[in-house]
Amino acid sequence: MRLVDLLSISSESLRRNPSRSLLTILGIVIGIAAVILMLSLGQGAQAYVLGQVSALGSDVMFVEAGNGNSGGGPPSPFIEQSLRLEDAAALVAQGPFEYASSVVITSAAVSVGENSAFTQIACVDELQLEVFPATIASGRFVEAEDVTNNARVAVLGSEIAADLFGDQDPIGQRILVKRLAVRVVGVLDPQGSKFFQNLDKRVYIPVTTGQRELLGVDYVNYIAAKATGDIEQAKDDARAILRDAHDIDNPEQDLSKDDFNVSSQADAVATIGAVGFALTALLSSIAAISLLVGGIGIMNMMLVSVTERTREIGLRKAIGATESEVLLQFLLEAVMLTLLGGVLGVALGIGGSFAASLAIRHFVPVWTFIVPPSAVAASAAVATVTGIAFGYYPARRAARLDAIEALRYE
Amino acid sequence: MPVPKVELRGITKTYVNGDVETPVLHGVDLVVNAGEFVSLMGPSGSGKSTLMHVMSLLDRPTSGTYLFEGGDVTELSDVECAKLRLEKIGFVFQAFHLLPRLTAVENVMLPLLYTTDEPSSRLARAKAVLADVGLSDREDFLPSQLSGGQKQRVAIARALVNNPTVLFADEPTGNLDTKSSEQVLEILRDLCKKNGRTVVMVTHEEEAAAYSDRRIRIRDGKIL
Repeated sequence: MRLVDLLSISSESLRRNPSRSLLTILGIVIGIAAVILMLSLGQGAQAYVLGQVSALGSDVMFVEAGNGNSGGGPPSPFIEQSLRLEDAAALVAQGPFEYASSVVITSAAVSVGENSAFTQIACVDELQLEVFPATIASGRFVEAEDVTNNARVAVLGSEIAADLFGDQDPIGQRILVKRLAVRVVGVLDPQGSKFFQNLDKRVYIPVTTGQRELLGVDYVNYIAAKATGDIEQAKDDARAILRDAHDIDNPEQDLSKDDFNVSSQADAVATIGAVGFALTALLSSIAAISLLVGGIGIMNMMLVSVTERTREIGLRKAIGATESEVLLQFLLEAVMLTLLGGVLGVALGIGGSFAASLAIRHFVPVWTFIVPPSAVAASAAVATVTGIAFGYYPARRAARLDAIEALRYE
Repeated sequence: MPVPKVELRGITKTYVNGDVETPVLHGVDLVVNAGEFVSLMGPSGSGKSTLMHVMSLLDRPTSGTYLFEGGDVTELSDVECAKLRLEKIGFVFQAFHLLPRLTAVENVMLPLLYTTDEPSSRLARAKAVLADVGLSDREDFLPSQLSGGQKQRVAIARALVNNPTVLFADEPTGNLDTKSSEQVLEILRDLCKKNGRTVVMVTHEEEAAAYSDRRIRIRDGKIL
């Protein structure tokens, strides 16, 4: 028997019963489509989160107040008040760090005459642009002297500048942050969103100005420090320095005793990777169930098909078809069904995730549409295996039919 | 003395269903020579169908020896039996057993699908045998568009397409009117007389048996 003949015999009943075939594979189609859709969205989400977190260089370490397990997420306004400007200085002075930049984040109403906006105020030092590199559209950024002098100056993100001043040049203009009057000295180019914050809506003021004039506090929310050597070693060094500075006796390195939390991009990526793995495992189990249900549908249809074609099978065996030829005919028919279901499911899944990504982009402009090739390959493999697994029993039943009895079947 | 096409020695067949044993054939000795047209006759339940199934390698005897073209086929495996049926044996059934969704010529080609012949030579071969049974003008007709006699002639063409040496016909005229029966029987007789093939026909009609060279009567599992 030639392979092409086998293929043509096996596909014949599918071609003859297109609507029945389509209904049969619906379970497989929906199962595969759901898996593709979920994996595509999952990968898109992971890419989005990684893109946000990767804003930090791999050699940048992040110190937050509190021993919280925020795992490198966005700084919370409610964390403890344990970090000081002196800690940043100590890190650079005693540890393997090129720089350490302190940040206090708050939100406040910003107004110019009639125009006002409630937005994020980042109280930073001159090293902020080392951590989150940005280019300056006009004017200058916060400088060391501003920090030393509690200067009442502000640098605007591109969006907030446009919101407050429209087409006017903001440089030299006065704005009110709460009731604190500051002079705009610079405007940044658009930078987009990093660490889930829209940086273009931010107003930057010197960290000391923010602490003393705006908030009346002496702590900072976080310190970003760039390590000069190995990042893991730098993290251990930073912990030792900060424990010393905070008078924490913690020789056993118990992180829960610290009043600060040190993390790096690698930690965040590891967390995201773990979440991604859990998501994939969850989706895989859902996929397994839907494919099981789909596979039972295929088996049911194949059993009906074998019964309907009992006399045909008898005839084929009488005129010289071997058991294995009949088995292959029906097995291949089942595999063709599930493969077709796989192809349609992949197409439906890709179409669905593309539509979903278009919708998501309304809210998250940087969202990327990803179809993991591995998911497509896995779908094809799973569809084939499902066909073989659930087609084998009906096919074997066909192959073992007794030719004489099958020919007599009414 | 040429080797007989079919030689049965002491063939018995007993069906076992649980504890119940049903003997059907009781020691059949039979020789069919090349080029013979024999009819196998007997009342229903006589064992003639079972005998034909054994002779055509669809069923195995319980005991005895079966020589096909001089070779012992009693102990052949299923796959070897299938190969012999494919290459040496043709089947014609009372109910035609044409596949309803295939055209006449496609039905005729069906056995060739289990060979490795070239597709082009298959079609030529199928058309040739269809012409031999006088149905060249019906090649692309579906079975439902053919009369009973035409269907049986398509079935005969299908049985001949592999160029078998022995044809087994199980009540080939059972579903046909007199005129169609005569056509079919004449074709079967010509296969022996003109092409030297051997034909074994199961029938219970004397008129049909009259076309054959020899009647073999069977009753209660024994040849009379």
